[in-house]
Amino acid sequence: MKISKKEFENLSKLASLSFESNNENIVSDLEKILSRFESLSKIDTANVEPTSHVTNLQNSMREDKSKTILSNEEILKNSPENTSGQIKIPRVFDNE
Amino acid sequence: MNKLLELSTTELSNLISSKKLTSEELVIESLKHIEDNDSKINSFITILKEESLKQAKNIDEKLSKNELEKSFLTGIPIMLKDNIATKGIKTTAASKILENYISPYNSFVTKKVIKGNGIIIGKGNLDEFAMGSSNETSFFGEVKNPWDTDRVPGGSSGGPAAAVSAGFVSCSLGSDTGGSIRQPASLCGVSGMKPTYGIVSRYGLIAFASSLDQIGPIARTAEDCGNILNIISGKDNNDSTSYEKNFNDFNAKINDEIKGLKIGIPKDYLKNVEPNIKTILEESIKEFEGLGAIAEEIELPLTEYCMDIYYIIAPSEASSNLSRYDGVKYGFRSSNTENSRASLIESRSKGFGDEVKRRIMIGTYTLSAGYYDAYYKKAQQIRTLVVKEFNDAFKKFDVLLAPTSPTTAFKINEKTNDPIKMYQSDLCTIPVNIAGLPAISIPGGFDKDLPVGIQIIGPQNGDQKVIQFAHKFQENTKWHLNYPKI
Repeated sequence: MKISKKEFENLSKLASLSFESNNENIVSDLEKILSRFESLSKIDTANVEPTSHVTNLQNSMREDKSKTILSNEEILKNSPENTSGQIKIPRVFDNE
Repeated sequence: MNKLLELSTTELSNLISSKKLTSEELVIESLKHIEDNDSKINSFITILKEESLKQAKNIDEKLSKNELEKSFLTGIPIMLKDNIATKGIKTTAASKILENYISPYNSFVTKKVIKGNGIIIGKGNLDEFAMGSSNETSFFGEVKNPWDTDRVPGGSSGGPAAAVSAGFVSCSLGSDTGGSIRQPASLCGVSGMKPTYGIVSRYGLIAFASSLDQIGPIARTAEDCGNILNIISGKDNNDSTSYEKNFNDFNAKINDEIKGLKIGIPKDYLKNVEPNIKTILEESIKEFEGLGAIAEEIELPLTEYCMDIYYIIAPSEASSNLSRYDGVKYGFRSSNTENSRASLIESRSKGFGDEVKRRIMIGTYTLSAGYYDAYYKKAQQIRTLVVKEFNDAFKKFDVLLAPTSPTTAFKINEKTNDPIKMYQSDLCTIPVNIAGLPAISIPGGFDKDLPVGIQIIGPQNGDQKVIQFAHKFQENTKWHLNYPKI
């Protein structure tokens, strides 16, 4: 299977990752790995329910009550940049 | 190495209980051995020297005044894999993106260890975000196998397995998504158990693939593993997939005979296994037969597809779990301040290593529009069939016995350029995670001076039986009593 340049660019965008212009290795690794999955079509899965969780637990609920887990201060300690009790990030909108 | 450091956690715990050994003496010996020798192994990311000494003294004092309710881990040094959150202590997942992350909270298991007065002596090295089978993807450098430092310890819990093997600690906690406790335990010659999915809370375990991840112990013996699981298991409201197990003591059956019990030998696990490892497995079958168990071959034809469905399910869940690393709330942020989107992309691209990025890309592909049904849904449907295949097998057998790893410890850099070859290291361990089963790897022999593990697999909630078989084997063999010279 082949991954086109356009497809790879779209995938990187979805993953919020960028790769050096020399990205042949990652593309060929992906192609090799994804090709392996083609063999799965041999298995008949018509009418088989998918399993997302193996222990059959159902509706694990908790009471709908708010609780304080960490203080604002504790949470901000790990943020790369903060100001006046809030996380600071680079601007979201361009000037234009 | 001081003989004390060759003892099992159960033996050490008994010595501390009977006041023949103080926690401080044990911690001093451990720290000395770590300081003298971990530079050769690199099993620790963080060593908590002052804290552990202080805590040991405090515990000894309380024990001498009988002010402490004694638990199995009281006064015992333990290493936690560095993807397990420890409050006020760096928790890096061996990634650049979390290089300086200090967790503001404790994981469920960390709380349990602290409550049991265990001494967290340090944080263990791992493959970045637990993605790897050789511990070579760590941002903090590879871990070396104590049996041969030119070789890998396995992964992703390479640090926790190597540290027990080298005698730095008698026990550690790892995590297992596709074999990450059992495969390094096998390659390092120690015992490592992945319990049934849900029996141990994942709260505070840095998420890789949530439907597969499970925390478990690595130690010298199966009995140790059971004793540690008694402490760290239990339902936790912070993990809605956790539940209260239907038995009290993981070790309740260790003195029961295995005579007449049935062991299934899945031949499909042997297809890609090295001949010498097959021979060791055959010898261990004879050992079990000598104890009265009945071994029979069984076919599990879906085994050959497990690795492929794993490499759909795990990366899919990982690509979603790892989307939280955005350089905003915590973790590495690039110096690119052009705009927030550019900052996000650059923080992730520079913060994650190659293997993590590779898996995020696979997962993004398999979840993306147009491919979801063909990959992710298909894999989950086959997962249903795998669960059924195991259920049918356990109608006939008490446990299954298989190799843990297709090879012994391989050379550092031997597989780094071939991801598929690397992924195949987990061929024999992955199916267990797919079906949420309990399994243990224990030393079963040696091939050219390198340890070989055997794997005992049980049905869901059959953790006691897994430990029972492993304990019986260890009562009658001495493979687990071999120590590397470092």
